[in-house]
Amino acid sequence: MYDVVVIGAGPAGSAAAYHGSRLGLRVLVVDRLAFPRAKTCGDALTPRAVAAVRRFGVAPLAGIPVRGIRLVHRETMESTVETFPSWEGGSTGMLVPRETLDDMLLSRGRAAGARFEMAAARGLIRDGSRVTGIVIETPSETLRVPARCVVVAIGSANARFFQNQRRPRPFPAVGLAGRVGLRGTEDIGDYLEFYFPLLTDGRVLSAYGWVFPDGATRANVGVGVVRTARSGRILLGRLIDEFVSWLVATDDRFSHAELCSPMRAASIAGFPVLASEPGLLTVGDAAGIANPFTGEGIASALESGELAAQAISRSPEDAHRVYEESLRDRFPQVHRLRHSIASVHSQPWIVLGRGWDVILSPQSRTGRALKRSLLDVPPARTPLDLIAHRSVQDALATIRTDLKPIIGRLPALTGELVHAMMADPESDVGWCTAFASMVRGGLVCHEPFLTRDIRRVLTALELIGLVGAAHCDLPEWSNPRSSSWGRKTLSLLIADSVNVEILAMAFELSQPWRGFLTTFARQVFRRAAAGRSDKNVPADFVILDELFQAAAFVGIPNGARVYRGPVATVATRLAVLRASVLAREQFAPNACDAVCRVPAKLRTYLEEILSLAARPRMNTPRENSKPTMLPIPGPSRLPHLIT
Amino acid sequence: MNKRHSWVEDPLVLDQLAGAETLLVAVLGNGDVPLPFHRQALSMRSKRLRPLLVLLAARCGPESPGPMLLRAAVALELVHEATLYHDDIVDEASVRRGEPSIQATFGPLVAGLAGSELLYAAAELCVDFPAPLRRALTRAGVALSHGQTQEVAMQGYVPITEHERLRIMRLKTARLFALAAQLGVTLASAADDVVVRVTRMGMCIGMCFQLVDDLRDLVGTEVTLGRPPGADLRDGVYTLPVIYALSGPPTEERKNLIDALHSLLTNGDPRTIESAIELIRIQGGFARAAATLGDWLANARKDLSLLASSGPDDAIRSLQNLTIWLARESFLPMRDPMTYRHSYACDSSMS
Repeated sequence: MYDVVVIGAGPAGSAAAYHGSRLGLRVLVVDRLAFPRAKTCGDALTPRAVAAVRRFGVAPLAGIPVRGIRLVHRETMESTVETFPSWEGGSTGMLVPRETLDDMLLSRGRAAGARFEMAAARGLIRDGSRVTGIVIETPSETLRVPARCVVVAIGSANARFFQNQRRPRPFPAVGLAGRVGLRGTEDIGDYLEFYFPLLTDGRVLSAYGWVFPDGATRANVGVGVVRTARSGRILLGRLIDEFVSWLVATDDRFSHAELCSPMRAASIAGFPVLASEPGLLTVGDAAGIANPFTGEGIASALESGELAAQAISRSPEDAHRVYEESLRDRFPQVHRLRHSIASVHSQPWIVLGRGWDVILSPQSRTGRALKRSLLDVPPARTPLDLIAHRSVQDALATIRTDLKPIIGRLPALTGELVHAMMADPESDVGWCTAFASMVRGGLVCHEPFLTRDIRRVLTALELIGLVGAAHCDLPEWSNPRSSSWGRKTLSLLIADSVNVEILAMAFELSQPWRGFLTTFARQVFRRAAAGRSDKNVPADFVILDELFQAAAFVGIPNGARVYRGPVATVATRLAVLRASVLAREQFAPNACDAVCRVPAKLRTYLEEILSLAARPRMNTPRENSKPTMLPIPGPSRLPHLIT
Repeated sequence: MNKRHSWVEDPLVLDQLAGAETLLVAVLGNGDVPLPFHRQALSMRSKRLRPLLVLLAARCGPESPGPMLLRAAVALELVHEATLYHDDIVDEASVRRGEPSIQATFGPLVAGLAGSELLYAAAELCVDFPAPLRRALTRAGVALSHGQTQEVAMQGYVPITEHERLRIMRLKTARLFALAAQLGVTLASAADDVVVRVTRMGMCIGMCFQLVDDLRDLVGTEVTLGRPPGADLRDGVYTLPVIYALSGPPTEERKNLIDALHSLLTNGDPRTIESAIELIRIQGGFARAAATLGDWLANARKDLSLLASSGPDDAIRSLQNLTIWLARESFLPMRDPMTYRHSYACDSSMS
């Protein structure tokens, strides 16, 4: 009896097979086709995917290297280039024909001990609520194959598969992508190019075109389309024709290009076919974990296959739960997108069709967040990670855990953006908590710090910071000549959804925190608006100042009230330093000898967090910017908290 | 007395509204003079529909509610204004109610921050409400934001279904009306069945209100709307008249309409808008939307008649007046579809 039967020998299935065999499991892989076999795909491996392929123990792949992504706006021809971030030592992506890649991965799996059978899977065998095997049909016979675990790696296009056994699917496949091969091009270069927003004269809004290099004189050109009113295939062909014609007419590299391979199409994954259940794990495109922006699914396919194998090896009875948890940790969008009927329409790049200005604006936090998602940027260290004090890291971990379900409740589109914003190493999230804990850590105190109420208040402070960051994406003035629809819409969607969550949280607190939080939040936005409109004070500085004042208030225990004054001044200095980071401007803090008149231990802690905030900025400041002098704040003005 | 409230026949309610206006000024002033970017919230041109609904609903309960009632009324108006501040930013509206919009005067950033402030000002007013009402408020707030997001996410999606559009309408508009009714009638300690009925009526009125808004965008004129008609079509927001026009057999007109809608997404040519609107009319979109509106209003009136014993006559009559006004703003089938533009041009008292 097999430990694992894998249905589908694509990247996800082969990953499960290879890693499962390496972990000592007995693995059978079935696929209805013999390998090698052709597969329509963009053929692009991101550095993340390349790293995953390396974990199959293969030498560097032979393929066309690519260094990053180039996003082009088709109407204005503006473009922005982003190089791939580094994954496990490599920051180069690769274009490898799927036929070659998939065959190699399957061979590695078989070399590791997995058995391969060319057969079509016809159904699941169940025993009660548990899946205990599958029925397969080889060319010669039909067999029942019992197994402790079944791994479904059937890809994105098999919606009718297991028809009588899958859960009702509220939405069909996300979309279609088609590609052609062109030859006679000039060197495309070594970036994957994506063209937005519209491909024709307004026929389709939610689509993108791509140009990938395919050798010195060839190009792989294609179009990805999200569901439209028309049937897929005909529209796709026309779109590709139009896109290619446009390239030939406007892009010098294509002036002598001609078709060398006909159009082939495949569906874009984005919605799961099957969720996991006892005895059954879903991996790869079938689990709908492709990149929600580009539909790129190889990296996640490989990783999910690996995770599935690990889960089965660790805990065969309970594998589906272990797997689902690790999947959610690795691919947060799984949880959000999976059960939302609107998930297809929340695909963020639909909004990009109109909201292109977000991508092109360098100051836009949302734009940075979107680019991070597009590029599959690995989680990076933030300055906060450098704080060595255990109590502070614990507090940060606690608040981050508390934030997760709240972000998870946001509507899918907003949740994606917020999640990406929070993953930005320059994000503000965590600084309030860190400051409050550092202040508390510097004072001797026997009161417990992270009580239930304090946790909620700190979480709310971080969320208010998020709303502030979203607001500061709004342009100060509208430029009639260029659209800023994206910046405005996305920023307000984020602000409004998160505000509502803050309110929900505040309304569940008991008094006096409930009143404090609502009044405080109101004060933050009021001050920021008034400061900006009246005295030209940057809004993000005001917001950060208010937040750090509140954090200081939370951090200082009642017995140490005497230190509120000096700590408040440090809070403002911290706000100045943080605001410089985000605004890429040089703010000169007014000289204030703040870090005195406090106990030595507290002084050390405060100096530490200030120096973290003053670290060299990751973004270079704007050219020719003179330092802006920021005003010295008055005495602490927090809403009166009746204790 | 503001002629905008001429549909309210209950003198007590009008008194209470005056009290609410005073409270609104005090709240926005925050102990001082109201800041300049809150002038829109204070504007006397507002119809104050939601506060009035709170007050009228409270008349359907036996008890005379305390100060919480005025606070609830003001809170809902603040929430509504907050959404207007933010909507005007995204729509790049230069005018609101005949005056320059906040985002045009102060810029999107300040308008955005001011809008958020209004939301929390509303919350401050309700901070000591009983827990069930606080929960109702947060749920309505969540519905509002989900409805907004859903509408944006569906922009440009021509095959949107009636079900999806109804859901968006319910979330982003009707829930707030329902909340207004619910707060008012609950604070007046009405019996459970009365609360349910009044809340349902509020939801119904909210749906009607949104549908009337959607109809006006398509058949209004620049005079009555303050901007050219068809903004929804340019944004790719397909409201019920459009959805009805697109349902049905694939005729030549239907195909032309779909083409027009697609082309409007990139190019808001006024002639294309005109022809799209004409195609919607030909396909029966308006007639069917008007019929839907008529059905909903009939439901609201039925609920009202069942409430007749719960509240004083002039309160019930005021709510009836509201439904009549909503009916007038639409075109029931008896009205000549060729003259609907003309009737809009005349009827500006409630705009």
